[in-house]
Parts: sequence; C-alpha cells; structure tokens
Amino acid sequence: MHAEGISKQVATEAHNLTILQPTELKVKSGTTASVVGASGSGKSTLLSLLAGLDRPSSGQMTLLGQRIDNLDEDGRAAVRAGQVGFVFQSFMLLPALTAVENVMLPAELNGMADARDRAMAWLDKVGLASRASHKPSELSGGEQQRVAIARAFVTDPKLVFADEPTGNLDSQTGLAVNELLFKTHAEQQTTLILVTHDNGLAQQCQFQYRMQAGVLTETTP
Amino acid sequence: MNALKAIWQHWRQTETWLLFVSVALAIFACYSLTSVGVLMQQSLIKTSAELMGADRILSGTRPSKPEWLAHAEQQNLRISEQWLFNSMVFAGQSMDAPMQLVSTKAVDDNYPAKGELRVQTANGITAELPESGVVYADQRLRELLAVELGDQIELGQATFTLQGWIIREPDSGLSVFGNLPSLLMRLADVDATGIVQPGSRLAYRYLLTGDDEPLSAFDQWLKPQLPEIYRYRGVSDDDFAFSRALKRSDTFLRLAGLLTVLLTLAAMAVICQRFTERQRREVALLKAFGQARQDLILRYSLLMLSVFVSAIIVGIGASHSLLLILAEQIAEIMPNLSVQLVGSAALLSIIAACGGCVLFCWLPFKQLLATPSSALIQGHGAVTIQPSWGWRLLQLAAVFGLLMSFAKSWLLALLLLLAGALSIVLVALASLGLIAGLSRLSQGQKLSWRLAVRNVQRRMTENRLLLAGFTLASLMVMSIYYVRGDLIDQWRSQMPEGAANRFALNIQQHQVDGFDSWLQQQNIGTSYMYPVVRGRLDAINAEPIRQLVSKDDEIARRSIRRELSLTMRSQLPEGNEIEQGEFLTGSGQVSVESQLAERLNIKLGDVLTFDIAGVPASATVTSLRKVDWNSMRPNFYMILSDDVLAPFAASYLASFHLTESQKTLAADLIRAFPNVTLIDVDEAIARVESILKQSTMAMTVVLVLVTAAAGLLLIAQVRAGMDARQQELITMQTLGAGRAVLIRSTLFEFLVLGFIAGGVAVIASEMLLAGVFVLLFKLSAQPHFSLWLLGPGFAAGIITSIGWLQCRRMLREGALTRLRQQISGG
Repeated sequence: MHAEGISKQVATEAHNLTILQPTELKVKSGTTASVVGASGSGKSTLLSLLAGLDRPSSGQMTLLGQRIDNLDEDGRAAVRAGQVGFVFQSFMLLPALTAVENVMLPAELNGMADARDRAMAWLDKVGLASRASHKPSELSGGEQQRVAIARAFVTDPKLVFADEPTGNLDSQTGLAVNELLFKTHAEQQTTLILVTHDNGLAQQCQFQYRMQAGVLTETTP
Repeated sequence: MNALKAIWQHWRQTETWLLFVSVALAIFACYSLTSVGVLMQQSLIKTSAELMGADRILSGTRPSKPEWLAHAEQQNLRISEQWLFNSMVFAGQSMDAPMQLVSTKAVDDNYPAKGELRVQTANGITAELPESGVVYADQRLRELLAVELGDQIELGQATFTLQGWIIREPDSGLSVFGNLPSLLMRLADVDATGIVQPGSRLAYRYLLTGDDEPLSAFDQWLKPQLPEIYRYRGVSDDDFAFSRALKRSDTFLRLAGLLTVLLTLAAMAVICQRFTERQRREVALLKAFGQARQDLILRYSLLMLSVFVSAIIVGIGASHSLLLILAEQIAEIMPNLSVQLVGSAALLSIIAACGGCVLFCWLPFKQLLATPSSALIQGHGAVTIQPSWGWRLLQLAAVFGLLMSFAKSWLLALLLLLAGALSIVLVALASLGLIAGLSRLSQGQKLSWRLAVRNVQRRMTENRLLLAGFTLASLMVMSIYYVRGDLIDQWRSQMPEGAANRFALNIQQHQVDGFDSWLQQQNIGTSYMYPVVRGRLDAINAEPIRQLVSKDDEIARRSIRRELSLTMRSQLPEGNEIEQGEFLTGSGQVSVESQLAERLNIKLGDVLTFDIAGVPASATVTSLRKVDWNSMRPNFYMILSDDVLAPFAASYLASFHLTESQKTLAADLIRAFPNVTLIDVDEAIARVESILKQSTMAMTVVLVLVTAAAGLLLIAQVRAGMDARQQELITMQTLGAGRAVLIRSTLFEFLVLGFIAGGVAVIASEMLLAGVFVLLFKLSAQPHFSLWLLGPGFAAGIITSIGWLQCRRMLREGALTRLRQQISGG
C-alpha cells in the first residue's frame, strides 16, 4: 500500500477545511503498522483513504498494486473485494443476521462456495463456534468483536484495517481481542493497519505513526 | 451472493414486514372498496332491472324504426314489444252496460322481458300470458264493471273473455299507486278491436334484455341518433328511483377507498424512510466488502419486487375472500350479488400501490444507495438528495391522478386536493390551539404530565402527518358510525308504532261513511280521507305549460305529461310546512309543493289552469309548501280550495295501520268494498330497509379498513421516531428521571395526541354529519353528545394502545441496557 502526497479537504460554510495534510506512507506486505492520535487528529480520515473507502482531495493512492485515487466507488469496491478486511470500533455486525451469517457475508459476496464452512472454521478459531446461531444482540461486546475479527479474515484477505478495535471494550476484553488480532495476523501473514489512541497497542506494531492536527509523522523506534 | 438468500434475510426484519403490510393494506383497501362498489352496483342494477321489467326501455308515441330493432337483435338482445293505450271497456253489449276507462297493455309473446307475471285465474295463480281472445284485468274492474272471471267484455269492436285478475305485472315499476285500472291483452288482438287508427294516441314500448356488453354497445349506437320524441332508459339513468342511491353509494365507497389508500401510502412513505435509514449500515458494509452499486440496486429491487408480488397476492386474495364471506352474509338482502374478480379494481389497486411506492419511496432508496462506505469509519453516512421541482410536480400529478381515478371527475379531484391541503392546515392550527390550552393546564401538574405535553409540543412537526391522517380517519369512522345509526333511527322514527302501512284508493263518495265505520268496527283508526280528482296542469297564467318547461328538465316534463292527483282540504295536512304565503284562506286557491313550484317556476299569485276530464279549472297560488315525502302519509303536489274541485266527481284515499294480527282483515275489507284498491306498503318499507342495511354493511367494511390504515400510519410514525425517543429516554434516565415517570409520561403523551386527534375529528364530524343529513338525505341535523365523549376517548385509546405496544420493550428495559446496546452498536 502506498500513499503519495494524499490530502483531504472538506468544504464548510466559511471555507475549505484541511483534515489531512499532504501525507506520504508506504506499508509493506505482511507487516503491521499503527497510527496513533487524539480524537479529531484526522487518523480515521487517513484510514478511510488508505482503505479506499474515500477519495483523497489530492495525491495518489495505490492499494494492492492498483492505483485507486482515480477510481469511482464501484472501482474501489472491486479492488477491495475479498482482499481487504475491516474491524470497526462499534463492531458493525448486522443485527438481523446470526454470528455465522455475519461472518459468511464477505465470503458470499465474493462468490465463495464454501462460505459457511469457512465461517464456521473462523468462528471456531475465535472460540465462538457454539454461538454461531446467536444474533449480535445476544452476544457481549467482546464476543461481537471476535465475530467481527472472524468476518475480517474469512476471505483470507491480504490487508486488514482495524479502526479502534478495542475502543468500546473494557481493558481485559480489549487485551484478549488485541491478542487474537495479532495472533491471526501472524498466522495468516496478513498486513495489519491499526488506528488507535492506545499507545500500548500501537507499540506492538512493527511500524508506528502519530497523527497530529492532520500531519502524519513516523515514530517507529 | 445468492439473491434469494439476501431477500430472505431482509424478510426477517420488522421493517420489511411493515413495508409489506402497508403495500398489502393499500391493495386490499383499494381493491375491496372499488370492487364492492362495482359488484353492489351490478347486483342492485339486476334487482332494479327486475323491478323495471327490463334492462332497457325504448318508448315513444311512434313505433320504433325497424333498423333499431334489427340492430338490437344483431346484438343478441331480446325484445318485447308493447302497445299502451287508454280505452273504454264495456261489460256487455247492451246500451246500459257498465263501462270504464282502462289503461290497456297489449303485449307480444316475449312478455315479460324480466321478472314474472302473476295472475289469479279460476284454476289458481298463473304466469302464462292471456291467449288470443282473452284478457286479464285489474281487480278494480270487478266492482267497476260488475264482472267475474269468465264474463265477456267489449273492447272496441272485439269481445274478449275475462280469465284472470292481475296480481303483479313485472314492469309496473316502483310506484305503488296505479292510475286507471289496467287490462292485459295480446298484441295480435289489437287489430280486431279497431281501436288503433291513424292518429290514435298510444305509446309504443320496447323492453330490451341482454348481457352487459351488447347492451352497452347498443346504448352507444342508439343514443346519439334517438329523436326527442323517444325515451330510452336503463336502470342507472337519472330518472329511475334507485339511480341516485346507486351513484351516491358508489361515490361514497370510492372516496372512502381513496382516503384509505392515501393513509396507507402515507404510512408506506414513513415506513420506507425508516427502512432505508436502518439499511444504511448494511449498504456501507456491503460496499466496504466490495459489492458494486449495481449489485446493490439489484438486491433491493428484488426485495421490493418480492414485497410487491406478495402484497398483491395477499391483498387481492384476502379481499376476494372477504367479499365471498360478505356475499354469504347478505345473500338474503342481495340475492343477485355474484362475487367475481374485478379486473379494473385489481389494476387500479396495483397501480395505486406500486405507483405510490415508486413515487414516495424512490428518493429514500436513492439516498440509501448513495451511502458511502466511508460512513463506517467517519460516522456521518446520511445522504440527503433534495427532490427536484420536476419530481415534486410528478408526485403532485400522481396524487391528482389517484384522486381522479377515484373521484372520476377532475373538478371533484381538484376539490379533494384543496380540501385535503386545507384539512392538514386546519388540523395543524386546531392542534396548536389545543396543545397551547393543554400546556397551560399542565403547569403546576406532575412531572410525567408536564413531560408528556412538552413532548407533544416538541414533536408537533413530525406528528403533523400522523395527526392529519388520524384525524381524517377518526372523522370518517365517527361519521360512518353515526350516519349508520342515524339513518336507520331517523327512518324508523318516521314510522312510529302505528304508522300507516295500508293505503286504500278509489273509495267512492257514497262509500266514505261506510268505509270509515267498517274500520272503526275493527278497531282500526284511519287518517283523513282525501278526495282525489285526476287532472293535468295545462297552463300557468294562461300560458300553455309545454312552452314554459325546459326540454332538458326531464322530471318537470314528466310531471306535466301525466295527470296529477288533486285534492282539497281546508286545513294544512300533517307533514306539510308553509314556506311562502298562507294556506287556502278563501275560494279559487291552490297550495303548491315547493320543489315542484321551483321546477315549474310557479310563484305566489300565479294562476294555474288544470284540465280535469276535459274541463278547465283555475286557481290562484296562495302558498308554497314543503312536504315531507319520506313520511308514510298521503302527500299531494296540489291542494285546492273546496270550490275548485267540488264540481268534479272524486274518489277517496285513506291510510291506516294493520297490525300483524289484523292482516287477515285486508281480505275482508276487499270483500266488503271490492272496488277499493288496497296498497300494502310493508313490502316497500322492507325494501328500503334492506337498501339501508346494504349501505351500512358497506360502511362497516370501510370503517374497519380506514381504522386499519390509520393504525398502520401510527405504527410507522412511532417507529420512525423511535431512535430519537430512545435517546431522550437514555438521557432522562441518566440524569435521574425514574423509569415509572418516563413510562407514565410516554403513555400520557400518546393520550394527549389521541385526544387532540379525536377532539379535532369530533368538531369536523359534527360539521360533516350536519351537512350530510341536511343536504344529502334531506333529514334534520342533530348534535351527537355521545360523540363528544366517545370520539376523543376512542382516538386516545387506539393511539395509546398502539404507541404503548411499540414502546413498551424500550421502556421496560431502561437506560443502562439501551446504553450498552448503543455502545455495542446494536
């Protein structure tokens, strides 16, 4: 993944607001990288651009060897399909689907015939095979995030983006989730990009960055 | 991903089910109310056609053109020809043989066209036509001519054998009052009488029967070329007794259907808005996982298609089943009701529901599909697309089109549109007034009450649609309930215990005292005996009346063509009210019924000239009267002073009541006074009551549908505001408000909303009921005190129950649970 001079401005009533200053970032395959910053620093905006969920106002963005800054929403979705996984702060499970159905979703969307088997295998890996038929409302926060992690990895993606994965969890559960996340990365050799305000979590990553007032600085020791 | 699987997953969500219910209800309501109208019309037309004795009648003073009859036969229409003329009959050939002017009907082999002839012969009751050389006669001729069955009577140059007394002729119409005694003979025998000569005055009548399509085709072919001297009518033409009732009931059902459909469309729009809001996360997620926009469009299109197909099947299927059940229930009073699929109603309901959904749900779906995947991280995902002016105009045009399809008139549709807009404004204003009053009252009251009133005030903008919809629905429900009850009550109140159910006609002058004594001996009270003289209105202020009456006013032209029953009385009869002038204070005066006076442009001081058996008689109009035609009393268009009619021979008319146990006395009366014609109006009363019952049954169906539609709108509106309500609840509880207080305030809020809707509906209902009764049914308006108590209570009860059902889970669980769910993204 390579970001060359990407920036993001949004138009307000008074003037244009620069959320992200022109930024340079390169992440090698199979590595882990963290972006730390306070609320409002622009780290979530950076994550959206890196994942191709949004388009930069300027600069070039290359994801999995493909340039995506000049693609429309469908084009970027096609690049992501099956290759990129996500873990969100608020889990983002679909309330009407069971745990296994939530995990299956990316696999089904990519036409994988063994979607259900894959999902069950992943639920087993995260220790929730027995809760496969439960809906998100019947799971605790930690259990929901583990389902979300299973969903993020079900298609064997090359890249996983995690946005504050433990933000809504207590410290003990958060630790367990972080452990699971890194363990899975290690097993799958998936590139992991983490956005967090937790310095302890950030320091577990090979490459560390800090976002402050829209400016990204490398802080890897 | 398997599209069917995706659709199935959506069907597990409540919002999808609500959308399905709203579409199904719209189709159900639209189909039920339009097809009920069509089927009831068909049934009533069939019943009415039996009374008319045909599906169509072509009549005139000249024979029909042969090509018209030929064309009718080509359309496979059955034709029965009749000649009608007045003539003298003699009971024998001697010079002093009794004679009587009769109304003769000469019929062909195809008579009767519809219905059944009933004749009393020496061998019993028969439906057979008289043979050549035979006549059937009105029973009055028995006394008038002193003849019995088997006797010979002279008609013109021919002699006939009297072989039957007519009990019922199918084409006698609804009028229970005959004119001249009738005689029935074969058309082939007319020549032998020598009565019909060039220049003779007779009427030619052609009774047509057949299927709807060929009849309709023949109507369209004949009407444009028909000269004015001919009349051509069917059951649904204005001049037939049932036609106005048919048109009104159809209009009522259509307007009720329109209101129900509009309510369900409003519910559909609200439900759709919430549905798309709830789907935002899913769309963003699917896009993040790589699904293309086209796949999303296909996904949701298939979902909506599944909703519509299911709703069409369920909506029309349920409606058809309901109609079958209804038909069984009312088989006794509507024997001709035949339930079948009404294609036009099905098409209208599908177009209304689908079209409405496209127009009101298209934009929310467009906004949904535009949800960016970045919303998953950045939070703000709601995309607002402002509708273009073109789109807004299209929506307005579609609503207008819907109004047109129900109202069947662009003017009525426009009025409805304006009335609807005005209603929403008035409801909003009335609600503001009521809530301001409640707000003042709530000061110093308990916290839960104050919270409730404040919440209603705050949510007034969002609740405007709900209030307007529920008020209109409550208005309709209340109006239907009370019109239903009042119609029957008022009808019955006009026929109190002992109201006349028998009319005796043709009592001769010398029989008056004897008739009265006979009734008194049987303990039967009788009304005033009206002398009746037959006469035709010839001129007004010496100007021939034919020149004064408009050619287009068929009712007026009919009233001058036929003879009127004239009477004399010095006192104003019961049920009559003087509108102008003074009732008969001297000689040479006449009092005229006000509606007839208006039609014929008769004013006080005008001199009316009557032709009474060829002798002119004039009188000056000294008063105009309002007559209560709905009462079961003898009523007259013209009442003259004694001196005008005294020179003329009169027969007498009396009315009286026979109880169930006295009904057998009718036969004794006829034996004692064989020349008197006794009319039994019980059957007419029963028929009117059955029509009322049919109308109220239709009203009940409407009542249920409108309530269901309003309920659905309420559910949709409450669910739409659920997220905001939930947030408030969490905040209030977190700040220390007890759960009990919040539960009470929520209940009170719905109660207040219900009272407002009910209160505004009560005011509007009283105004509407007054208008309906005075203008439509020509009955008196009266306040409905029970409405003031029950109306707001009913609305409050419904709104509170539905609101509580929607909110109870949220209220019971409390803040902490809700906070946890929020944090965990649920």
